[in-house]
Amino acid sequence: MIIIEASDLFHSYEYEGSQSRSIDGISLRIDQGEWIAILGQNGSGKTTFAKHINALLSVQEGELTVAGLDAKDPANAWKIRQKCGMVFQDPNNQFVSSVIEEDISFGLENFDTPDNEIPEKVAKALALVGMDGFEKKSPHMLSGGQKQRIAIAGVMAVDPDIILFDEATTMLDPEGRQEVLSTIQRLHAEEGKTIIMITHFIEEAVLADRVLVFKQGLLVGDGAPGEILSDLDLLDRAGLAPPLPVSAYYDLKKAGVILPRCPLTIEDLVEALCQLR
Amino acid sequence: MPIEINHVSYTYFPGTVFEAAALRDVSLRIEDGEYIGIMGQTGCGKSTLIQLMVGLMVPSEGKIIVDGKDINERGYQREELRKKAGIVFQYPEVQLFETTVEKDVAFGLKHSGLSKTEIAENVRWAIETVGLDFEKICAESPFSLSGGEKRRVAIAGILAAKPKFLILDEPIAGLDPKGRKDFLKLSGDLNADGVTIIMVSHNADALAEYAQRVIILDDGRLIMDAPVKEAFRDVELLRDKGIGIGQAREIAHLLTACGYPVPEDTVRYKELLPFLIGIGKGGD
Repeated sequence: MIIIEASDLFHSYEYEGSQSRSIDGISLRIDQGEWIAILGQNGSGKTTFAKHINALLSVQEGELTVAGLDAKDPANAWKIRQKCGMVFQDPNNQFVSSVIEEDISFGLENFDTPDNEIPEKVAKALALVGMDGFEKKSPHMLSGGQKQRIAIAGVMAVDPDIILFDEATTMLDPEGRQEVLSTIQRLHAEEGKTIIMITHFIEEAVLADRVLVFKQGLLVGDGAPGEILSDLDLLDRAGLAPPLPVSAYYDLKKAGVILPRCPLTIEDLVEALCQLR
Repeated sequence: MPIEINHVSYTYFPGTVFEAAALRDVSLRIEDGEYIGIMGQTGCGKSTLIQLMVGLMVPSEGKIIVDGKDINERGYQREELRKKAGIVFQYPEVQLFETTVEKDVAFGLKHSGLSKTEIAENVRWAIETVGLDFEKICAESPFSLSGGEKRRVAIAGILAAKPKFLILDEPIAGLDPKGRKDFLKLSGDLNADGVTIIMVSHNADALAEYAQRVIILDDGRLIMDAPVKEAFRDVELLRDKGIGIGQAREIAHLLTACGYPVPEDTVRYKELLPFLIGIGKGGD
């Protein structure tokens, strides 16, 4: 079932009278339950596109349907945001309260959830991200990974169908990144959420079902990770670098060593080499 | 101008319920012209350490000696230190505020005592050094630029003062791959020109490529101070402390477990590749 459908979507930002086009005709369909990774240089239109899906930006030109709702109709904005939550880059900018349970209730209150249902929903959301027991704590006392998990819990409390992650691991240390990625994996596999993840870490895109590549407001690549991440020509055109195992595959090939297939992860590469023995 | 950190400790809010030790008896020495990487988990004391180095905070215990002088002693001329040290905080682009790129970059030099011509020269040099086209960009508003360009302008503002040592706090977080590569190259070029670089990063691959020495903090304690090829040797220890070891070292480690002898000081991809080819050709 299609959950997001965009056709010929355009968007320009205006700054001191001059216009710059941020997305320049994007058409695509995303199925319910898909895990999408979006790659592209700074300024390629990734975030602008994501903000359309969440109705943070309104459609200027073209068509966009999110969870069956027409994003062009301003009356749908709240309904769309209820269907589609967003987690941003800096965990510190996302807190509205100094007590975790109040912070997570914030979204629910805004969506007119009856008071007596809130505590249960908060507890459920915290359990989903592995942060149960933190209700009364302050978000400021947590590690980066824990803060991002609280931000995810705030989104999950509203039970959206789609969750957008805009470089949500950028500011985290390796352990924090792993915590957030495992949480995303769980939301996708166990809760069946549609995941849209913008990232500059190409290794993270390996985890997705499908990878989209943006360049100057255009969709220039769309396919399975194995197909997109091993396409050196495409990555180069989009200003991206391949994952290290992919570079190794081609460097080995140049030296006359042919691996049975192009590895995407370090483990795949080591396994392929060990099998040559 | 060597920097000496002598038995430095720092405690936030001492004597209150919020008391928290950020640094515990840390000693290290940084020589002129070095490129140092500082690693450690969030909350390990990295940011506290770099703020102490430039005199933005005063240690609870211990001394910080720059160029032979205790920077926290009475009578020490702080502006001397301010001129020598440049610090680029995380997300420096949020500090842009002027109406044009040129004015923003020049701001720090206003009270430097340099003449107008010297300031103009430094500003042009700094903007060109960060890889921007001076003529094209100087009259633009910094807020009309892309994220990567904003970061470069912010860094140019620091470079314009021609610091002798440059402290960079997670300078590549949030940059795209090309932005990361360009920035790292810039840091390497500055270092080749004699600027001491101290870079805080979680990115072990970047440090393996550029740093000569790596310092690792854990819960306020210095647990590693070693040449980059040594620093990533003990994979188990680093994993235990939540420190990334970089992809090349990871591959070398897995291959060793597989029975292929790849040296434990392999930290860069270009050092690793000959081993991969050797294994592939069956020449062990």
